[in-house]
Amino acid sequence: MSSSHRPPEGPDDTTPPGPAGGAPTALDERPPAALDPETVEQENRRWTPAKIALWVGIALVGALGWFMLAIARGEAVNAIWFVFAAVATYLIAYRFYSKFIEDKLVRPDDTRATPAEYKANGKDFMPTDRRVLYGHHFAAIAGAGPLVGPVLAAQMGYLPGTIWIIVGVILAGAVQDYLVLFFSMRRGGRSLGQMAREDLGTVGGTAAIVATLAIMIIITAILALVVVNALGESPWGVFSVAMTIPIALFMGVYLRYLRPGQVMEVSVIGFVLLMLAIVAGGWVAESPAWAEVFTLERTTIAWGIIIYGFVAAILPVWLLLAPRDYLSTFMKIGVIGLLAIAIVVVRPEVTAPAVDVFASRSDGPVFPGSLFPFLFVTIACGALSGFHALISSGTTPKLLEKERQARFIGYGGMLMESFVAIMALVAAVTIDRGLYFAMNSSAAVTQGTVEGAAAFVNSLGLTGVNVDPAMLESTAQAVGEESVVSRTGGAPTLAVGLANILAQMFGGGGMMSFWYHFAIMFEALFILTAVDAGTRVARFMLSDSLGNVFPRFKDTSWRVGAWLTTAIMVAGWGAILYMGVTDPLGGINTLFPLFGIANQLLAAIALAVCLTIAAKRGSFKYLWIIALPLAFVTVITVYGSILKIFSSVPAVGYWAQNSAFRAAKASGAESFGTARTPEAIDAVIRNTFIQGSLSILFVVLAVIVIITALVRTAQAWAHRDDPEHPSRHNTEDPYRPAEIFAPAGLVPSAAEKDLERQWAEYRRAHPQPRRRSHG
Amino acid sequence: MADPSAPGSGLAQGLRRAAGVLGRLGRGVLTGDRYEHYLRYHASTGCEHPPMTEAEYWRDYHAWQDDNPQGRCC
Repeated sequence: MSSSHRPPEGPDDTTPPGPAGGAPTALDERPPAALDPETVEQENRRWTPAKIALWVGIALVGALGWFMLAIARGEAVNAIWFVFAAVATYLIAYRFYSKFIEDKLVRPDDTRATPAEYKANGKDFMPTDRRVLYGHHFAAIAGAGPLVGPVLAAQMGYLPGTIWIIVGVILAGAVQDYLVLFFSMRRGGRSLGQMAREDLGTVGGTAAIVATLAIMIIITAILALVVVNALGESPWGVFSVAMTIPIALFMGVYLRYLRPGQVMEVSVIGFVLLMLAIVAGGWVAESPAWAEVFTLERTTIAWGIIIYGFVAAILPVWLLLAPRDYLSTFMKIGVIGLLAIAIVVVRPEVTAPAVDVFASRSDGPVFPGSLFPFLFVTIACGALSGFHALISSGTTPKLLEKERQARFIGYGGMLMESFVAIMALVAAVTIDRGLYFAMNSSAAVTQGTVEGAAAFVNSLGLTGVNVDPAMLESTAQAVGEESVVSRTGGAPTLAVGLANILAQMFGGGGMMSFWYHFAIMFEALFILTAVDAGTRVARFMLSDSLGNVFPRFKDTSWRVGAWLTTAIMVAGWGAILYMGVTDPLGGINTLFPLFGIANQLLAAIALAVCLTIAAKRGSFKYLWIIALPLAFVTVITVYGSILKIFSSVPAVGYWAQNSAFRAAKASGAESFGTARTPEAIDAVIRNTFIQGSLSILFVVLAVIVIITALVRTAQAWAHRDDPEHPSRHNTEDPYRPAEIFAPAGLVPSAAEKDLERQWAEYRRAHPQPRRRSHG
Repeated sequence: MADPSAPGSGLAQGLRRAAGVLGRLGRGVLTGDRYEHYLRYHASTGCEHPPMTEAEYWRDYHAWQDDNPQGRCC
């Protein structure tokens, strides 16, 4: 049964206290705030021949796409099949599976006011149009994750990654985003940590909060590492990314003092300036003197990002973060749209095999480990991302107009993110396969030279792959870089793929260097914004926790406290960043699995919280909707963590690597494996110690939360016939009747259009809205 | 509102309308219409004090944002 506590029937209960005079007539005429459940049911059941034809058509297009990707052999596969397979599958999953989840598990009630309505404050609680909120939410969840993971996953061929990105999102990722969004909205927009504490108890809740903080630090560090790897030894890149800072500062000042609120205007100006910065970067790269200034080592760039992270998080929001956010959102949505159009127009040929040799081995040069579990862990954000649960329980639930819109925004938003991942995969598999491996294998095996890279890639024994050093040189020249060898981290590969595709649409070969640096800057732009935002959130969480012991920290205007907590958080991710940059084994190679596991463990935590909440609501018959992805991701991440901790293969297990290097050091070796100096050996020992400890920490925290959730679920099951029992305690906000109406999905149905018309007439007749005053 | 007697083909009108819709959507996603939402909210509370000016509103909002950070995803 629904656990919403409906007030007794009666006209007076829904009448807000307000000034007399005109109130009874106005409210009598007010249209309902929601469609009748019977009407909704009727509209769902109505299968006209046109509707049937449409869905059969979509299914056929999807089947064709999957057939061409998975089964057809012979000629080279075309990227367009990815688009067909992905879009058709998403549409079918959205129309049927998410609707099923909505009907059976979620059971939203549009007569119930959302917190945006009853807690409206003109700031963070504001009913927002669902289409605008979709863009908002998507911009908040979209980041580098779906761009980097699939690029690395392409090591195993295009098919394993494609299957997980598409199947994983519809069964796990979108389900998580949707449920967290809905449950958070029912609880007044409370965060995941707070929901965990209320529904799992103190132990589970504290574990969830500590895990969230730790995982946020890791994610920030590794995103920063992606930027470092993309900008190392690249004067063009360093110049254009560095220019984003003064551009953002200018935008911030412009908005504050010249034209407050003109966000679109300032974003367009910022965009134009960004384009100029990219072009100017080309001049910098060509001038020997300037190129010298901007050619920085990776360690220098790492320090730069650390200092930037500290300063940016201290500065007021309006000066740097807010304008960066506008620019990032503007660019994200624009570029993703552009890329989608470009893939459909250009239809590039895929060069990677469906399933590569590394799919059945665990010694891949791009990321180590076997397909199960490390493919899933590497793809992370494109299919299932725990970090999204933080966003879905952040600002979005506070902006939802109507309960039924959670499906469109939560489930639909994640589907779009998954589509971005598919496009990133397409970019990675449409470049020369040998080039892909030359770019993504660590410098330890390629020696950082074109000859070394060619030799290494040719030694891998991949069919149809024969790399010529000259090809690597000419690619580097074409994109305006000194070298493309061992440009790990996913961003440079994506940039080459994007440049390849976009150049075929606009501008031809001459534009490749512009598009390459456009893509690098595009990714660095929002990564650095995310680093800033993440540091602020982490410092806020730390201040909050410290405030329980030292009350002074709760005062957000205390400068010293803010500086201190920021410094601690920056030191946290900065240390891991530095560790990754100086790691002789290749930072991305060793750290990305840690990022992926951390992200998936947070997803397991989010799903565990959802499982408990659903069980307490009594939805046992449909609990499998959550239990299935939870079980899968738990198995993947626990097994992955076990391998990372206990595997005796040094390339896979952190502690195995640690003891191998310690043994080498004890035997007095000056160099061992890829570590050429005693300092490098020490670095590996230190790094693997930290990585191994973090792996243990994450898996322990996640297991605590999952076990707590299972216990609470079992308790709820034991009392499934007794909704009043404490184990079934409902932590939702009380029912309040809704007084506004809005359609549920992207396109309003006939009945919704009718109701909208009624509301429009009502508003014309009674222009002054009557609502309770919110102080 | 489209004026049927105005010069220009239906396509041009349709494009202009589409551009208008996209522009408004874009502005909304970038949160440029935040002040309008605030004005509407202020009117609905029936508060007697005049609403904040646009500049005041944004200063207040950014000050609030400083104390209430929001994450941006991975």
